[in-house]
Amino acid sequence: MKRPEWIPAILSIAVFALFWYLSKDFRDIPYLISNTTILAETGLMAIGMTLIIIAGNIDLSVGSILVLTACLMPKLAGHASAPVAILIAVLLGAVMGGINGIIITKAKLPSFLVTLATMAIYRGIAKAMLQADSAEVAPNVKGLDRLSLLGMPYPLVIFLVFALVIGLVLHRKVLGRWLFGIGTNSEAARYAGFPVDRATITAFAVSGALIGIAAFCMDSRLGVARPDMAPGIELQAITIVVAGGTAISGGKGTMVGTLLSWLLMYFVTTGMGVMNIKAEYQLTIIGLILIVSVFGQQVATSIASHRLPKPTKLSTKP
Amino acid sequence: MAAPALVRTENLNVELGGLPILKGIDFELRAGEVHAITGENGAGKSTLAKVIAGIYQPASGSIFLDGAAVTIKSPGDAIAKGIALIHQEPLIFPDLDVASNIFVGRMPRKATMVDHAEARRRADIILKQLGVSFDARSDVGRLSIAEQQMVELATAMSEDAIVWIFDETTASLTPKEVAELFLIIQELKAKGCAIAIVTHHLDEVFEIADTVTVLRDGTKVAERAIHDLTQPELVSLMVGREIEQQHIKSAHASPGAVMLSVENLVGPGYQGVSIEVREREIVGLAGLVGAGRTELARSLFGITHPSSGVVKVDGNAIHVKNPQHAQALGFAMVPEDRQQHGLFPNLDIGYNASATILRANSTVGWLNQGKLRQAALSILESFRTVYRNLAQPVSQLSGGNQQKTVIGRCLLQNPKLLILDEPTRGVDVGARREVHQFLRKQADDGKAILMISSDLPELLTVTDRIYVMHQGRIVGQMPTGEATEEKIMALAFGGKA
Amino acid sequence: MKWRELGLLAVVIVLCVACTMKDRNFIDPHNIDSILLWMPLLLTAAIGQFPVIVIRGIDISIGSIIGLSAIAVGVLLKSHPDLGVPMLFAIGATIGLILGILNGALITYAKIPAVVTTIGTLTLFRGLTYMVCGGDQIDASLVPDRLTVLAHSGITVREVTVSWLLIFALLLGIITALLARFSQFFGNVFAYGSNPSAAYLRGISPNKVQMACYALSGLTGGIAGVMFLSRFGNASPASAGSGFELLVIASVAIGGVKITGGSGSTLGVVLGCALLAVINVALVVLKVPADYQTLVYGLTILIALLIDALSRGVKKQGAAA
Repeated sequence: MKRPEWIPAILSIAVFALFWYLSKDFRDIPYLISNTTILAETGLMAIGMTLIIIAGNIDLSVGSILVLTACLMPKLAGHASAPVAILIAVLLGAVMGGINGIIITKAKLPSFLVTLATMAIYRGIAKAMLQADSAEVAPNVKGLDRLSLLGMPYPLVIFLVFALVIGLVLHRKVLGRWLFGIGTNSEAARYAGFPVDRATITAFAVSGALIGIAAFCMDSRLGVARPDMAPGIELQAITIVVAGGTAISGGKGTMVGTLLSWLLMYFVTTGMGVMNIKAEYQLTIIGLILIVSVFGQQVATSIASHRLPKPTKLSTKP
Repeated sequence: MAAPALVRTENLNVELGGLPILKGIDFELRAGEVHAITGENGAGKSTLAKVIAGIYQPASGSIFLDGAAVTIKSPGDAIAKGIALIHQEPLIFPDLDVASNIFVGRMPRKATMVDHAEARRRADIILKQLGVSFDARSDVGRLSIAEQQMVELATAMSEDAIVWIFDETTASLTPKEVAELFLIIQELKAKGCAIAIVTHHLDEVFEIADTVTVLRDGTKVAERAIHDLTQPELVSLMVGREIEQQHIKSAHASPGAVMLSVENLVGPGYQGVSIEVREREIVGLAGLVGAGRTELARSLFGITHPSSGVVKVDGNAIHVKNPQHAQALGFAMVPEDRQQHGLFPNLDIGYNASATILRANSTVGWLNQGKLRQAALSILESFRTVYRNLAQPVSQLSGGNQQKTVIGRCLLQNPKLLILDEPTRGVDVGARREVHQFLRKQADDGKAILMISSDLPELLTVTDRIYVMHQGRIVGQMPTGEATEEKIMALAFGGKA
Repeated sequence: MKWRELGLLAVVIVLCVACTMKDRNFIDPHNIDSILLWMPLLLTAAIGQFPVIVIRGIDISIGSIIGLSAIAVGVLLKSHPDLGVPMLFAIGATIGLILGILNGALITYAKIPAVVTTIGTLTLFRGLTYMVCGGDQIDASLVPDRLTVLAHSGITVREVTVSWLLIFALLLGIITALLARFSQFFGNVFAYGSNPSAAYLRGISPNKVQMACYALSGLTGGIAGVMFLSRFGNASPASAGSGFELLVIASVAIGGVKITGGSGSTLGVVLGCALLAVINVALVVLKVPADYQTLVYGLTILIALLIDALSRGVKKQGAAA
């Protein structure tokens, strides 16, 4: 399984063909392109999640970072210009992601537990702050999703640009190399002189910053922010990453895989949308994709190493 | 030696990770016998022990227990069949008490309920037989390694094991503790148990064993009664030829300036350590496992921190904050445990060989991949590392080639001070010689080298000067020309030179 | 009782005293009632989560298991309104058990990490919940009085009612405490959590231990689902048990079950639940809006985690000295 990216690629084509055949509404290319605005936000989150999972961690709080940023940004930015609003959103997201990273590395706690807690905390702050209210977005930052560049809506362009940039960081920069090493063997990374804590925190903070941009896109698209938005979006982001061939145990994955997997997810969700499948079932199907894709990876690995005996580690240190 | 074989293997073949580790082993372990299994690192000693204890499954061949062919499906199955394996690092449950450790998975019961009182009573009886100073209620997490080892012995006794396999059990014990362990082994032998000891300590073989089986590169080269054998004979059986003990001389008449000096350093696992390492000099650090050598090296490299004392680099006092800082100071380190601390197993050889020089080969963080590739290729080449291509996962290489990759990565940093912790553990003889010559060449080029090794011939071959540590302290120092194995061992065991 | 349990008890008491000082009416029968009403569900589910955390796992799907059990039992009541209370609990428990076994199988045999498995089944079970009821609510008219009465009547001492549900949950707690001490199975759970590879080498089957723990978590989740119907008298597929995983994990973490595995006590879990229940009621009494609840649960988990990390650091220093 040298190149697991071909799996989402083939599945994308298959799903595309299936819905093309099933639904007349799906056979509308301009619609397909313009409809990417919502999933582009999730895609931005998946880009950061790719870094985090490759470094051997997970962030369950990404949905809450998105929502809290989306709720805080209009309050803090007021009627400031769009660049200022974006900057505020990026900073907010980076700080929240960074806090996750700092707690995980400095207190040496498992990321899934820490981010489970911050998932509740960040969303809890949003709920406590707004209660039944919603945050109104200033008119001058609304409507980004209706602008387009080269025939593509802005959020899609932003997503693709960041996938390229962060993909280059992951595969062509020192930081990316470090993350692969940390995810494979964090102790060896320490002995090799990698700044393990700093790189891990950076991955979380970069992910947070990207979520900040996603939050800006969401605010701009919806015009209001409410604390109960985007339920289950963390599941969607994690699913995109894992279905793209990134190993949940860390140390393995590519940005191309995440991008292709995003395309698959886009066809699946859009297809379900045009087929009028209810939102609650859509989430269920995403959950299924998550489990099936991890299962598929495990099967593939065990086939590849099928003759090897189980390596039984004899460690007395828990 | 007419006693019947309790355990017998016939044409046993074992593969790990696709590589053959044991080839056609016929091995017999008889009741009332202490049988040493010995050989060099990587000869397959431990693997043989683990197959008999059900941890690994043989690829082919058969195992007979009391004359009947058996399959030992799992460690639990081995225990049920009366086979006990005492591990090098004791297998303990730090959160449980001694009685629960001993009877884990098979606590005595009264009407289906676990009977803690009975477990403690039985455990105390066994502990008394072993003559230990703790009781069944003690917290295992707070016991010393030797005491934890005793808990493991007690576990095997409680299982009424008839076949006992000791896998390098003495490695982390003091001489006194080893003597106590040997007394227990004698008792077991008198009771008619079959005992196998996996060890590479020749003194132990001659002290306790009746029979010795020698493995080399996964095949059995000899089985002899101990009284038919002398120590040099055994050594030549292990290595296959007389060890070349020619000292590799320095090209320079005298070493250069003091590069590293440590004064009165106190930290986790060592106290009052003062040493010096000069440019163009290879300094050895001898001692038993647990003497504090690795702990000292870890502090020098910034992984742990000393609580007091001074470290000077080129005469300037410094505090090494972390490994990055150590690297910036010109230090490089080859860690003791290659699997845990050295390798990125699933990543490719190119990554592993160049992991330490990423920043040096980048422009504002962007990697110069061509240069990294060239550097990796050249260092692997100069070390004569055997591999298919740079994209191959490093886990597919043999132990020796993996170690060359790790050492090579450190040399690519072009360090001023190279710290090596057991650099040739699990490396075959030929490669070992290459590593040694390479290190000498590095020293001649001006590097300072500090080498920890438990392999005395290695220290005598490569170093210029040797420090000996015992229980966290430096207990002696000598030029290699004046050193002998006996002198070093006497110091390492806490005696006088 | 160890320090952790004593500390928890102290926090519970301090919190009660502080609330009483703030508002004289805090210790009135009504408030105590609502604290006690709050506990059975939480305690039941936490008892199942307890061994899961001991073996270094997690069951995030617990809220959806509660929801699916509540809705499925409600739907069953539509067609069989005469089912007896024990039967309802047995059905709920069986549903939970099956879901738990599914989690366990995915984690143990498909080797999918517990976080990923249960975050996936969280949505999967929620989807099943919608399918079972076709998206409809389980109305109060469907839930028989003989079930709801369990939540509102019980043993009354001076106006304070200890509901049958709570008694049932406490009974489960006592059974678990006894099992934790006197069953071979729990012995294996603690050993496995303390050192998984050593447990394997000592003949404990890791598969059996893991399967059993997740199955048990499902089972108690199923029971808690029926308690949900009893407590609230109705259930909607969207909200029944939703977000409950946070409370359950919070109460186990705050109850002193070591997240690095291998230790923890049932009494700690009970006190952890009590603390959360008191906090929850205190928020109401102190007129803190309900919107602060999520924040408080999250902070509770984080504080518990940090205490754990801190005590680890202290221990390490102690060992080095």
